[in-house]
Amino acid sequence: MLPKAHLVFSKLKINLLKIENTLACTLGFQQHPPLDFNIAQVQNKSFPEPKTLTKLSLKELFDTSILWAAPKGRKTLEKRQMNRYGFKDQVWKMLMPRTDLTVCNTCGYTHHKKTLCGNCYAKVKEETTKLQDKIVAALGLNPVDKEVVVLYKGEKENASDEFYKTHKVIEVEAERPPWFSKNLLQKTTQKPSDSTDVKPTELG
Amino acid sequence: MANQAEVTKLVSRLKIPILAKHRRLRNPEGPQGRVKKIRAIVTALFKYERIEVYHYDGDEARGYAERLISDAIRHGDTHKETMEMADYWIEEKNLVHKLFKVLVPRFQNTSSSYTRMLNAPIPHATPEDSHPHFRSVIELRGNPFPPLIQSAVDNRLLIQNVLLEEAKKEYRAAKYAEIAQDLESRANEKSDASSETREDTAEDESQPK
Repeated sequence: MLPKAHLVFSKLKINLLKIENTLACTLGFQQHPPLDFNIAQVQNKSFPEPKTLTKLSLKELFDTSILWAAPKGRKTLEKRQMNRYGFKDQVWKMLMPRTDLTVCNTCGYTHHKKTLCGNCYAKVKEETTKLQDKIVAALGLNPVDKEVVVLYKGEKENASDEFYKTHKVIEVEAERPPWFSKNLLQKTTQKPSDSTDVKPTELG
Repeated sequence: MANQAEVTKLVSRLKIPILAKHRRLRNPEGPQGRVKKIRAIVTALFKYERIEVYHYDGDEARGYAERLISDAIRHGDTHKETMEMADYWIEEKNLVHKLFKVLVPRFQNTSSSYTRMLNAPIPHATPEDSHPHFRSVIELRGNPFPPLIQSAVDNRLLIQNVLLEEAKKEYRAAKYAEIAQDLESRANEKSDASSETREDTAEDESQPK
């Protein structure tokens, strides 16, 4: 009851104030609000006149408008949470820390555990494609019957004539990259073995 | 059963895992397209010795390349069926020479597989083994290119190892100081005890019997 009475009293008070104000204005005790507050009106037809809204009946409304589908029922909390966050082992929408990354031992970049390091691989791939282009251009369409060896700048002095006969040597004018180990050449510069062991048959 | 041939002698035993059922490698051309794709990959592998392809295609073609090399080692270039197979699967015919004259001597004494397959780096996505667009690098072993994985790595200068080394030094220094202090205190105790015993004996001697 109390709040209602309070409302009624406040309304009465506002109305009484209004009446007092108008009486004071008409009797000359108080001036009207100053003319500066009035809006200056310009006689200009360019202002569009407000359209008069025609009220449609319910039947006309249904006939003339397109009605979109809207949710009819309440979604359960479970459903809403599933839509928002997903399900842990199937579709998990929350941001989770990656635990499948590791640091490359060679360069220190981070990469996925199952894959090669991206930084190292980019370097290797660039050098590899360069060498591949050189080798393919040098071999051409001739039958390939010798092992291909790549010698960088300053390395062909060490190779013997025998080595040149048994291998197809591709010479590269650039220096050997410091990360490309020279040990790879050790096997190929060895002398051919003179063992007479016979290979056993049917081993696959 | 006695007359039945041993299966291991009919077909080369490969040193890589092979699926029980082949992959279909679905494409608009059907099974012929699959064969075409595998032929292209096998040819490229023998030509370039290191290629990067989609994992599914590459893994499928890898077995064919291994089988070709294995058969070439087993039967040599005078075996008709092996030569026909090589002629079919290798599109560029100068590489047939390479198979018998270069790859057979290279691999005839190896105990491991002839090819190697590694997962190519994926920058932003999560690689999943089942994903068909997951790329792999296949290479013939003993190729002249820089190694994909550096075996002997000098990682002394990695920040973790530098810090660990310093921590080890500090720990050792602390331990040595502790041991030195211990020895010193022991020596002091010994000297004190010996002096006491000497005094005792002196007292004993001084006392009249």
